[in-house]
Amino acid sequence: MNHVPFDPSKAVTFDLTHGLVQQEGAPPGLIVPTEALAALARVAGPEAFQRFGSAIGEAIGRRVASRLAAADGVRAAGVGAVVEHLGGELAVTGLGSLSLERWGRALVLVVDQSPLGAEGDALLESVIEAALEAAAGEKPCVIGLARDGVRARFLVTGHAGADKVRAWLKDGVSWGDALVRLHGSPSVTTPRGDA
Amino acid sequence: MNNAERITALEGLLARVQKNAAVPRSALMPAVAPVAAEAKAAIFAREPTKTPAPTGMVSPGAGRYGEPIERADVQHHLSKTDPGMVAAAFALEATSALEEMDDPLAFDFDEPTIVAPLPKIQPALKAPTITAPQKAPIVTAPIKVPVAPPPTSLPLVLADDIDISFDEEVTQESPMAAAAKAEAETERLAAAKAKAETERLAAEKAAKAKAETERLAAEKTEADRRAEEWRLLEVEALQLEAEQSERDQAEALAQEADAKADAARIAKADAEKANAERLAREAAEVSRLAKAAAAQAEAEKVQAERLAKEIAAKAEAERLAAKAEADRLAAKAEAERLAAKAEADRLAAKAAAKAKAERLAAQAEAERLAAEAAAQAEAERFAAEEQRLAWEVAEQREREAAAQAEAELEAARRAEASQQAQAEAQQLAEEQAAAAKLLSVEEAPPASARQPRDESRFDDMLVLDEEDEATPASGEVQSQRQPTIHDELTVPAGAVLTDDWGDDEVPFVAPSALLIAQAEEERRIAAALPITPIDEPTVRTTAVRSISPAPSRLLELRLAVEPPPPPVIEIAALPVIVDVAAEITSRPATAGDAVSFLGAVRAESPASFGALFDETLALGG
Repeated sequence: MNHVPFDPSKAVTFDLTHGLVQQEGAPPGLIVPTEALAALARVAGPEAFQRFGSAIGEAIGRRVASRLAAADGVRAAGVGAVVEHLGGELAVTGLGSLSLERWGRALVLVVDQSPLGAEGDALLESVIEAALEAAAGEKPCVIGLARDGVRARFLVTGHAGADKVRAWLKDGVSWGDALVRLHGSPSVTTPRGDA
Repeated sequence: MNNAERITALEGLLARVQKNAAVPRSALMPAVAPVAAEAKAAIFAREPTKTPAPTGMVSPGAGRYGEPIERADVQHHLSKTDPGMVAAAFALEATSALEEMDDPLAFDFDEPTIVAPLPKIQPALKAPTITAPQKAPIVTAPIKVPVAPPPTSLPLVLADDIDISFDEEVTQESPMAAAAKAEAETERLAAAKAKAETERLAAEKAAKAKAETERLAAEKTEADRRAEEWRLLEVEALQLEAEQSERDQAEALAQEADAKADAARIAKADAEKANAERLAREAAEVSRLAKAAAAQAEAEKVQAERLAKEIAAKAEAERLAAKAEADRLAAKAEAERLAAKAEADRLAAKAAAKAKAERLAAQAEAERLAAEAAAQAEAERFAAEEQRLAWEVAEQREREAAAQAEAELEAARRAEASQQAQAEAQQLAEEQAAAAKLLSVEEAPPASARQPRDESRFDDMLVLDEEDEATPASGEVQSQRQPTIHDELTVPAGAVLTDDWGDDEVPFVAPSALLIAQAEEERRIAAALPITPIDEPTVRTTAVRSISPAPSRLLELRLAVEPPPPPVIEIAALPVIVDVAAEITSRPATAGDAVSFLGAVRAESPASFGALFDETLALGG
């Protein structure tokens, strides 16, 4: 598969003459302080904030899809390429640094140094969800697993799995056990000594 | 009929009268014409005194009788009669109208009488401005009684007698007959006429006076009535005005009350609106506070959940660590148990060896005593038998040499096997140490148990001095000889392996026969000992005998301790643990963290992001 590296040049254009800031392939945007955005989120409520995040993520996913479409597309691209482009877009947007963890067959996206902190986890969920939907063409469910300081983990799974994981997390199951339970059959496991 | 219509009707009648007066009549008319003309003149002579009120103006006392009609002075000379009466009328005109004596006032009831009902005062919202009459109207016009010549006395008619003549009147009587008749009548009536005329005039005068009185009384009554009516009207007007005023006042009050009510209503509405707005603001504030509280509670809940999750994850990690520690301790205990067992075996073997050595020593002592007894018995035959003894000693030496050679061969073979086993054990220990290091550093067995025996070490206690190596001199009794070790010290492995690596080992000297027997026993034991597989959880200590050449008499005892096998974990007994490994794919500048991961799952790396995406979406389904 062809690898198209993420090129952040001209990803954001500052049109000082007209006083506009524009991301690549997107209408003019705004540079908003994080505190103001958090205050707006508190006032607007979770639903509005989710829509807001979906709008951001959709634009990100479209840009990722358009860039990877030059190669083999998002689905056919390597995991590293997708992480590179998706993480690059998130970084350009200012939402933090993205990495990917594969726990068995579970895909876990990790966002470090998100400026919104724990308050922005819901926003990141909607952003990632919409971005993956726009990029891969299928709507996943993104669940915040845990936050450890500046690191937040988000599980990408289907609706059924998301419901189960939410229930487990609500029951106090650790996110690691939840991932283990999500795999369901113990046949996927191997004894420790064989690891 | 209103005033204007009355005036118009009167003017029309007057015009007709004038017209009739101007029309030339019959031949007899000239005699009458002056009378008519005079009457007309009399009528018109009074007209200036009868100033009609201007149209549209209402004089005081107007209304029902407001029309300025002078009725008393209107005289009717002609009446509407049938044609046969024309002559009589003419005669009346000419001869004081005797035919109409029955109706001296010449009222013609056939004449139309203008009768109109009293006008009704239209109720008005506002009382009209009515000026009350200052006094009753007084007819100032003098009543003139025309002094007519006796033959031509004019009948006095009231004003209501309207002179109506008809154009269609036709006189059919012949002039001659009429003239004769008139002449006869004139003569016949000449005397009576004067009388009658006088009486009539007197009666007429009296009647006229009476009528005038009555008229005046009637006028006064009428004036009074009008005044009363005006008063009543005024009162009514005042009442109406008062009522209107009251209505106005009531209306004003009502309007004021309405205004007040409207003001109160508006004020109330404003108050209610303000109150509603205040309540809405308060509700919005409450809602906002509730939302804020809910958001805060949600955040706190999320924080608490996050903390709970972290605590749970930490507890889980601690549980796993404790479990691993417990496993390690169990393995260590097992190893210690095995070591203790080995130690017990070693001590038992040592005790057995010691007992055997004592038994052998006792046996040797008994043999020595027997030999000394025999030697004592054979002392006399010493010389004879010396050669035989020498031969026996030589033979014994030969057997010992053979046994020694055989023992050395066996020792070399066993040393080689031991070294090979040691090398394999060391290699296995290194592999297991590496594997154990990957698993957990704390699970590694003690280093002392894993390290191979230092081959360079030897026990100084086993090195014999040169004097100990001297052969017994000739003439010495065997009992005085020091025990000589002709070959290697064979010690059971269990007896040799001690905590201090055999530092307390005390070499002992055994007779050659015993040594031979010991060597044979050792070989038997050595042959019986199986080679311990490296993967078996046993701790085995092997003594490698190094037989020095006889001249040096150096006995080196080397102990080779195999490293303990890795702790055996009963997989079936352990709970099923699903270990999931995190395979981190990060961007170049991002380092992955797998601190909290539990284990590993050997899953093939997805070929593409789509495969991984599909796999993760299919989870839990």
